[in-house]
This record gives sequence, C-alpha cells and structure tokens, in this order.
Amino acid sequence: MSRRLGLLALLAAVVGLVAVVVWVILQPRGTVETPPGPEAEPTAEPEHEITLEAGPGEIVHSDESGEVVWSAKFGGSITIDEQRRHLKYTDVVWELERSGLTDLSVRAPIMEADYESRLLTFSEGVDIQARGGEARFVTDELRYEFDTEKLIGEGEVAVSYGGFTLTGTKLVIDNRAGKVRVSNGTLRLN
Amino acid sequence: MSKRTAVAVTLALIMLVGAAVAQQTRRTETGDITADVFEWDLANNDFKATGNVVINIEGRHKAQLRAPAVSLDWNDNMSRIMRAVATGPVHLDLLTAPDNKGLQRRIVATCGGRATYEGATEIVSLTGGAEADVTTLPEGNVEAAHLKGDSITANLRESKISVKQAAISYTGEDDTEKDE
Repeated sequence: MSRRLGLLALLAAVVGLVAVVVWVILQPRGTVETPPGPEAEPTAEPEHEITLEAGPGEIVHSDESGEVVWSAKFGGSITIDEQRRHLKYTDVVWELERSGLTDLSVRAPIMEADYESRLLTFSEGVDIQARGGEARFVTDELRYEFDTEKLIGEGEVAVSYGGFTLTGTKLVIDNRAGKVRVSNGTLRLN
Repeated sequence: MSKRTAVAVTLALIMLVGAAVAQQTRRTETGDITADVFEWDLANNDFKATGNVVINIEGRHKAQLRAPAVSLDWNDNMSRIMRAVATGPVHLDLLTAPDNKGLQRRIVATCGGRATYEGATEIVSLTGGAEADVTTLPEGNVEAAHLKGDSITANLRESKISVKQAAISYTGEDDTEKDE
C-alpha cells in the first residue's frame, strides 16, 4: 500500500471516529444537529479528547418530542471528550428557542456541554441580552440546566434595564416561569 | 414654657405639621433598594423585593423605608417607579426638606399593615396601626408630636403629614392646644 493511500485511510478513520463519538455522546438525551462546516482539523489532545477547528457552525438541541429547545452558533473550535460525554465550544452565541424568554441570547467565549449532568456552562465573561438587547445581564459564569430550563449565574451578577441597575450574588433566569431572580441584591435607580 | 396635651379623636382628622411650607420638590431624587431577593416577572413587569427590604431615597428630603416585602410598579419602559407597596411591619424614617426658616421635620413612622408610595404625588401612606413621632430640627427645637391612628399619610412634596382616626400628643412652645 502506498504512503498516500495510508494517509487517506488514516484521515478517513479519524473523521469516522469523530462522527461516531459525536453521535454516541449526543444521542441518548436530546438530538443535536450540526450543519457541515469547514473541513475538520484534528489537533493533538489527550487520548480521550479531540479538538476540531470546526467553526463557524451551529448546534441545535431538541427534546424527546423533537421540539427545538435551544440553539447555539459557535465561531471557533469544538473539543470532544468522549469519556466524560463533554463538549466544549468557543465563541458562542446561544439562544432559547422554545416558548418563554424567546428573545434571550447568551454570548460567551466558552460554552461547555455536559451530557452526563445535563448542563451547559458558559464562562470567561458572559453577556446575556433580552428585550431586543435593552435588558442586559452580566455574570462571570453561567450554567443552563436542561431539566429545569433555568440559567443560573453566581458570583458578581448584574441586571440593567430601563432606569435601573440591579446587582447581586446570584442570578436565576427561569424560562418556564418567565422570571428573573437576583439574590442579595441592590437596585439603583439611574 | 412647654405644654403637653393628649387628645383622642374618633373621626377623621387632619393635622398639618409645620407651617404648611408647601415647597415644590424638584425631581432630583436618587435611590437604591436592597433586599434578600428581587424577582422580576418579565411578562408583566411585576417586580418584587422580599426579605429585609430597605429603600433609600435622597433628594431634597431623605427617606428610608424598611419592610419584609415591597412590590414595585414601573412605567412602561421601567425608567421610573410609579408605585411601591410595602407590606408590614413597615418602618419609615423621613427627614423633610428645610422650610423657609431652615427647619426640617424628622418623621419616624411605623405600621403593622402596609405602606404605599405614589411616585406621581410623592405621597407615602401607612395603614394599619400607624404611629409616628415628629420632631423638628435643628436639635433644641421643642416642637414635637406623636401621632397614632388607623392611617398616616406623608406628602413629601409639600412637607405635610395627616392622620386619620388619630390620637395625638403635641409638644410646643406656646400654650395653645393643637387639637384641631
């Protein structure tokens, strides 16, 4: 077998492995559809991790009935940890699609999807917007719980809209209830 | 020489504290609210603060209201609080703007029911076992009153306070009874 054939076979094996890993990780709880992006370029990672320079792309999460719950556009890479069923995306804009806070979006440099604990985690500076961008929510780190449809930020959190700024130590955005809750808060009238 | 009078009144009674200064207050108030939890219902802009709620307002007058829970009604774009309703027990500490003699009234009021602040009129109403102590500043001024009634209303804009179903004690420098 020539050297070129060997390389092609190796590349085909890597692409096939990535496809299988993504499928295995995502299938049991919800469905994720990722449209084709630029050609994947695997980079050196620990054996159980694969990083693809895959952006820009989009991930769509549906519930068991097929209804789309949320979607996320990412501009950077995807890192897949097959052992932990954990995916990490960079340069993400995430949006709720199901009824509730439908105009709410989250921008974050990092989004991690953990399908074992059914959590999304946004980090490294999270900017949340609603009401056409007029309502702003800021927190260092934010998590989204698949089962409760709540976005939860802890640490220094801030909400600003209209004539007020509300700061506190914990932020909960409850999509099902359509409510925002801030703990240990101070509301200042601008 | 001071004289103390206690009067019990069964019907509605209005008492003016001070010389009806009626000073217009410019809308230069700033304020903040602290609470254990704020909850904002995005669908209808219901806004509630619960747990150790403290509202501070500073402008020509200074006011602090403390209560277990306060709900806030905003205007459409949530740029201004139109109404605040505190549920009791409510504690209000108010220092009025100086009158034309430079005197200020400090009003310390409590109630077991609820207190309502109307943003448009700048009126605070306390209902349900309301009591208020009114003193005049600077210190050394002997004019003072203790008010007790079903409801006490403080008009921040006009520096007036009124009481309904009241019992009033008044301390002043002249000998005339202040029981009208």
